[in-house]
Amino acid sequence: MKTSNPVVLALVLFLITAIVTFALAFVNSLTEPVIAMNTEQKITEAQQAVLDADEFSDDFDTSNIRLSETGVSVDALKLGFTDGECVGYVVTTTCSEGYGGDIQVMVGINNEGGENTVNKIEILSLSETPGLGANAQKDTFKDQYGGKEAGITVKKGGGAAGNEIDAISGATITSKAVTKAVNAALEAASGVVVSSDFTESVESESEEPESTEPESVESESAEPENADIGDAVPVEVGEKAEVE
Amino acid sequence: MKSIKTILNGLLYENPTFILLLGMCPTLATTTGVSNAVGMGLSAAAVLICSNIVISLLRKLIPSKIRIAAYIVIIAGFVTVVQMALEAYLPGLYESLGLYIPLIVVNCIILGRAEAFASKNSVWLSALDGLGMGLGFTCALVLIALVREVLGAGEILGMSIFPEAWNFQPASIMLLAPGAFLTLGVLLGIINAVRGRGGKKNA
Repeated sequence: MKTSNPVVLALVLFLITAIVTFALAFVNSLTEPVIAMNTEQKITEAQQAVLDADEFSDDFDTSNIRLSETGVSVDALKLGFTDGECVGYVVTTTCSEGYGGDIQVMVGINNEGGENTVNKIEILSLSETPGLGANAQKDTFKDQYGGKEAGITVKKGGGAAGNEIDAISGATITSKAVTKAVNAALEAASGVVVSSDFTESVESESEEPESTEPESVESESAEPENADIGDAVPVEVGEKAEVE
Repeated sequence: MKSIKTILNGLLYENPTFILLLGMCPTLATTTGVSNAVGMGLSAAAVLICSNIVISLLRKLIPSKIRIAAYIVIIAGFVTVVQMALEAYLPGLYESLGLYIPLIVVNCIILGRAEAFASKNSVWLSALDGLGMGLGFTCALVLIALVREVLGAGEILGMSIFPEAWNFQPASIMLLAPGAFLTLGVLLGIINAVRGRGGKKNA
């Protein structure tokens, strides 16, 4: 079509953009729920993989958690329950010190007799170099974290012992970033019991009733659960703090 | 006859990557593994076929003064559709391609074919051109990715191919940016050498 009338030109371009916009809106309405479902499913699968528990609580408010290190943040924290007893935590943290930016890690933490140890970790997202840092997603690396406690350190060149993990060869920065995220998760989990300002946030978050029945009042880590029972909370929190 | 020629044109004689040297950015970036290369190639092919068809349909309606703007809007629309579809139905692939999907918009193969072919030819031929060019792009990506994945990780499609007894040490550099340039350069050299034999007489 040969025309140089600016009104016609503008009108044609407007029509094309309008049609494309409507088409996009239509496709978006089809795919949006599927995408949301995928994301949710991915998180559900990941948390079941990292912690051996029957049920998981809702997310707690993590805005009050203060970590001792910078460059890492807590995105989500849940409790895992088996037979109504809290068996551990699922903490999602993001460390911004990866080689290619943010690394998001979901850490399953076992709580046995007040001792927090890593059960399993899952890398939710990372943008590290393929073949080097991206190897953090391989089980051989991730499985090293099993059984470790707070203060994990990275060892270069192999032969990690005790609370150390072997760095991925050629990707020490990635290994350190993942480790930092795991350590932060352990720190956040320990804060659930110890830190007083966090228990406040647990209270404020607990308005929606959880599916888990709080029958295990006496169990050692039942405190965040009790947050559900309104008036029982302050007493229970106080007791808890003493125990710890 | 002309249909077959159009497809072969994209696949071989005017292969977008190896002969036209278009779309180098996604070529270098997404060829770290064969699965990524296939995903990127087929997504680009899908966009290319769709945009070629629509642009060919509208070729008499789009005023030539605003044709580039119109092409970009149409292409960007299709890319966004592909992106949303991948995120919804193939989340794994979506994650590994990530940033490169929006980059299809500015992939010069697509705009180049819209301008050079679809705006001048019938819908049928334009669709075939899109198919040929898309498959040519995919094959080229897979070839480069194959070299890089085998040398850089010792794997094909994530599966180890070398027996452990060989003690094969993958050269990580092949997975990094320099490896992409090395592979592309060597492959281009080989292709030019092969083409040079037949082509010199005409030149």
